[in-house]
Amino acid sequence: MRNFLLSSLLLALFSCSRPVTHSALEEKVMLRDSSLVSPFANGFSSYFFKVKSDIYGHYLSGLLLIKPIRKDDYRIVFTTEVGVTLFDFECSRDSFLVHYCIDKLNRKAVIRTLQKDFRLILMNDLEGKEAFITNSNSETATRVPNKKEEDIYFSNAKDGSTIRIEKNSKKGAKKVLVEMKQYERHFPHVIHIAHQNIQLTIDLTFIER
Amino acid sequence: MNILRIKPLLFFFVLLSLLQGSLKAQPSGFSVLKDTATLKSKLAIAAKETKTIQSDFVQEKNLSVLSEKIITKGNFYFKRENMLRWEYTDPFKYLIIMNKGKVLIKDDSRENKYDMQSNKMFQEINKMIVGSVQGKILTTGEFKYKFFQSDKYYLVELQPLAKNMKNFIKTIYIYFDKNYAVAKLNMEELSGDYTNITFANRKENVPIADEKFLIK
Repeated sequence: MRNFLLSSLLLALFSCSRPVTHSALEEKVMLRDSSLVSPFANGFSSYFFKVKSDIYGHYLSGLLLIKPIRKDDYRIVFTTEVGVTLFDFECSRDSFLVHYCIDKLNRKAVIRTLQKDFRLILMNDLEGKEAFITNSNSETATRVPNKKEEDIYFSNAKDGSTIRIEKNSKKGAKKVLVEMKQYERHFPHVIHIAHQNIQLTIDLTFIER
Repeated sequence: MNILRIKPLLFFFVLLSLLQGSLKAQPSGFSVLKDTATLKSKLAIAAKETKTIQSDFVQEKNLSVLSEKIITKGNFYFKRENMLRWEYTDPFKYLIIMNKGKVLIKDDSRENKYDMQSNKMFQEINKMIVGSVQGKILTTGEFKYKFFQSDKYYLVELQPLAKNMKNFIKTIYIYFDKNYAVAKLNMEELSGDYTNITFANRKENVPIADEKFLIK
C-alpha cells in the first residue's frame, strides 16, 4: 500500500513537471496572412465597446475604442462613461506604445497584462509564426508556441470565425480564456476575457454606431 | 441659468470626472467680459428662482488624434437643494445620483454606492455644492476664472487649482445663453482630448418626484 501511494505520488509529481504532450495529429504550418483572420480585420473603421471588468473584487466600467490605423496596427482608447480618458495605447505587430495612461493604471504589471490581453484578441502578431493545427468536424485548433507560453486559437470549422482562445503555460496551466460570441456580420458582439490565475475578468460588448 | 443652477451642475460634472477614474481651447468669436459683477448678480438672482431643472443632453467625446467621436445621450435632473440625477440612455444605460451626502452609480444592473462623508474628494465636492447654493462658487479658491462674451453666449473658463482635479482636467468652459441658462459645457483633458455636453429641451421648475433621486 505504501509503495502504491509513493508510486502514485511520484507519478503525479513527474507528470506535473513534464511539458504537455500534444496530439500526433497536429500539422505544423507557417502562419500566413489568411491563416488566422483577426475579427478586427474585417474592414470596420473602428470598434466601440461597453466594458465591464472585475479586478480583485473591484468593478470598473467604461468605453473602449479600438481603431485600426494600418495593417496589424491598432489604437486602443479606454474612457469612463463620463468621457475621461484612462488610457490610450497603440498595439502593432512588433511594439506596444503607451500614448497616455492615468497614474493609477500606469504600472508595469498592469500595462503588461493589458498588452497581452489586447494582443490575444487583436491577433495582430501571428503572421510568419510557426503553428500546429488540429482539425475536427466542428472546429480547428491552431496552437502558436511562444517563448514561455502558447496560445491556442479555436475557430469554427465552417466559417473560420474565432470562437475561443486559450493562453496556457508551456506546462499546460491555463492562464487566460477568451470567448468570442454572438457573431454578426463576421464580428463577435461579445468578447469575454477571463484570467485563470489572477482575479481579472473583462467583458466587452460591441456597440453599433 | 444662474450660479445655483450651474454650480451643482458644474461640480457634479467635475465629480463625475473624478469618480472614474477633457476641454477645448477658448473658441474664437469671444471678447473679454469686463462687467463680471452684473453676470454674477444675474446668475444669483436666477438661482433663487430655480427649484428644479430637467434637460436632455448629448455628450460628445472627441479623440482628436484619432478623429473619432464617441456620442452618448441622456437626461439630467436637478432639485433643490442639491439633488442631482445624471442618466445615460443611449447607447447604454448608466446612472449617477447624488443625494443627501450619498452617491449612487449604476451600470446596467451593477450598483456602487459611496458616502461623501468618508471620502475626502466627495467632501470637497459637497463643500463646493453648499458654497454654490450660497452663491459663492465664482469666488472660491478652487478655480482660476476668466469671463468672456459673444453675441450668443457668456463664457466662463475655469482652470482647476486643486491637485487631484488638475491631474484629470485642464480647463472647463461653461457657456450660458443670454437667459443665463447653461447651454453647453466643455471639458478639456490633459491628454488633449475634450468632451462637449450640449443641453436641450430644458424645463425649469417642473415638479420632479424625490424618487428620481432615491438612493436605497
